[in-house]
Amino acid sequence: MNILDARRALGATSALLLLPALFTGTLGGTAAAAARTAPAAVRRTAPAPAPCGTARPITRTLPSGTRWTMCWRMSGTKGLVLEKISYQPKKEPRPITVLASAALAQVDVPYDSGSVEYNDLSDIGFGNTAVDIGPSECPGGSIGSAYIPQQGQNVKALCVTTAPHGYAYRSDVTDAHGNPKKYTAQGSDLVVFSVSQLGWYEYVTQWNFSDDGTITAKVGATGDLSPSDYSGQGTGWPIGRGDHDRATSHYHSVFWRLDFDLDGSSRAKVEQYDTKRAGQGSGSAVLKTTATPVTREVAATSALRRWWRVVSTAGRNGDQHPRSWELVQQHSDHYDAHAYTSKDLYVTQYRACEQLASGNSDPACAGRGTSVDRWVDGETLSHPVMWVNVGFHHIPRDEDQSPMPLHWQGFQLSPRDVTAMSPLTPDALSGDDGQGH
Amino acid sequence: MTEQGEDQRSGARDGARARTLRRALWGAGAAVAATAAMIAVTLPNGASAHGGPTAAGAAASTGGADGAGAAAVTENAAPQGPQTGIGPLTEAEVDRAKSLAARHGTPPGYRTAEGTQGAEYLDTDLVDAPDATSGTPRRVEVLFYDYGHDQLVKQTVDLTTGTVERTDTATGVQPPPSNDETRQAAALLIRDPLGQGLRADFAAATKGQTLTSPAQLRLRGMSFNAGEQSAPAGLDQCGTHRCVRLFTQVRGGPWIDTTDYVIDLSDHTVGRIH
Repeated sequence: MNILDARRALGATSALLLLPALFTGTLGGTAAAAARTAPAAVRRTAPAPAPCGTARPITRTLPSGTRWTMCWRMSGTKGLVLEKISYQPKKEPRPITVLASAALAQVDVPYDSGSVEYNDLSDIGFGNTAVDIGPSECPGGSIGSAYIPQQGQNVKALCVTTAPHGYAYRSDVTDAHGNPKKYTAQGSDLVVFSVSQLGWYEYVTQWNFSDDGTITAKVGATGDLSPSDYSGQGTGWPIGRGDHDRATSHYHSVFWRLDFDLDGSSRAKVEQYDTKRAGQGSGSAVLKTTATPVTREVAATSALRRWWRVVSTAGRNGDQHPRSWELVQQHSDHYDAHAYTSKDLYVTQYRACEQLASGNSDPACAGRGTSVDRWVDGETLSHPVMWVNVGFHHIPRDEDQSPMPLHWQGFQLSPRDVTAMSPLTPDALSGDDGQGH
Repeated sequence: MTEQGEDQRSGARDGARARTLRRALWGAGAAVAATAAMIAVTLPNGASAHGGPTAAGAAASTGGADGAGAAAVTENAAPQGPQTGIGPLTEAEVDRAKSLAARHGTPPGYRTAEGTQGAEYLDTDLVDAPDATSGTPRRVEVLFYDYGHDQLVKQTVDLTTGTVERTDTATGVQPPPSNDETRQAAALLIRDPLGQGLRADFAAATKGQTLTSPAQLRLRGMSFNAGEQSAPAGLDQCGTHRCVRLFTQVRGGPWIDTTDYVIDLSDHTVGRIH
């Protein structure tokens, strides 16, 4: 019945308004059942080539019709660099540009014993240590080679493949004629990764681009625990028989640098959202959400029900809402022994010489300090760059030998009002936009 | 069973040996830690063999070549020929950038790590250019280290015009060491009294061979900057000086833990973190 449809739509909308944290950890849950209709039959023009120039772009059209396109290269320090990233849902006439550049900006690994610390990007380099990816590691995919200057050779450094990610959506409804109808689909991702081998540790730098528009950035650590870092009670965990060998606990603080290019413009706006209790209603607590414009450089800390989004100044969706991308944070323990790892997010004004979150060695930045916390000095943001810090405190366990199962850390960028409805909405429901409002 | 599967089985067997060896050697290492012995360990390393240089220009479909269960995989060769826009640097571009930077010359006081006139080449990278389009000429940054003044030198090169656009210098910043610097650091450690543990562990791992050259080792260098992390007083020059730590592995053999040692390439000394 229509009444049932309306109630379902309202329920979904309410949940989105009050609990943005519901987005956390989901790959495919952005069934934004709001917004005015998307045109049913947009003529899709031939895909514009990514402006990679002579290099071969990464481009895939996923089974649901969403196309992602980007350029790639390998930097000695940063490793895999993705540039000119664009998103084209099946009903969009042209690609929607999202990021000018996305790359790692540091992996800092201090050991709890106080004995040693590795700055994996700035001291060693993820491109310098990139290794060949074999066919069995990239099933069904495409392996790309790049010349790595420090290695003096070509390395099969890039895997591009696709992978299913389970439910895109599921909905049992009753149509206008009273007939039951089930809508369900499986989602999929474009998966892009490289592998770097730093001593006994191996890192996977991965990006998943989902057909619903979600971008997932993550770094996985595998290889082996340090064979020489053993420690005492409180700073290590016994590995193997008895209580002799306490593998030292340690941190991985991973930074990503995101340079946005929303709808072809770097002049994005940044907003912080906070939702706070505002009294008790007759049925539940009242929660109120407020937006705070971030107009100047900021070093920010996560908090309950706090999130950020980057808002386009150049593009709107079919509902005339400005397009935006929401930073979806997952669990993170920031490392409080360095200033720069003590914050969860930095937003700075773009400077070409600011590329690494610490140990930034570009001489063109001489005198500005070498870490991101030093660059936050109140400058007005006309071209914001986002630095996302995700910390993982690794207390080893027996199962971490050997090879160590991958442990992942990362974050997501989720589209918010980029399209008027979910890009995966089945055609039969595309006229439902806004029902229940 | 795929090749990888066989590697994993082999690795598991190596791993069992490694754990035994690690405990045995760790016990010994702990006992003699005060005498600077280093600890040799074997790790399963089936996946780490780097192999020889990748055949440039080869584009081949290797679907099915890796055994049952592997879906078809395509391989794309590294870009070659003249480039525009953004994408991987080609070997020719890197060589040309280095050549243009070298032709630009260095002031007479500049020195390589070996002390000869010039600057030590470190790395080449594409300039970050958010506004780049498909036709944008390629601009690259070439990094050198001038040991004469302990400074990092960046030359920005336009590959289309063949000109060095600008030169920036800074002190106190230390990007990753080049392979040449890494080898020089290992050579210093091998010759140094603090390298006694390394030499002993190498002999133990190779049935008595003598370690005389970095070529006998598989090395990965790390820069060490006291301005970026904790360091004992004896190493507080690192950062102002160019210092290197090493991951060290006997070729085809076990790791030897040398991460406690810091080699100062600016003054040719070796120090310890502990």
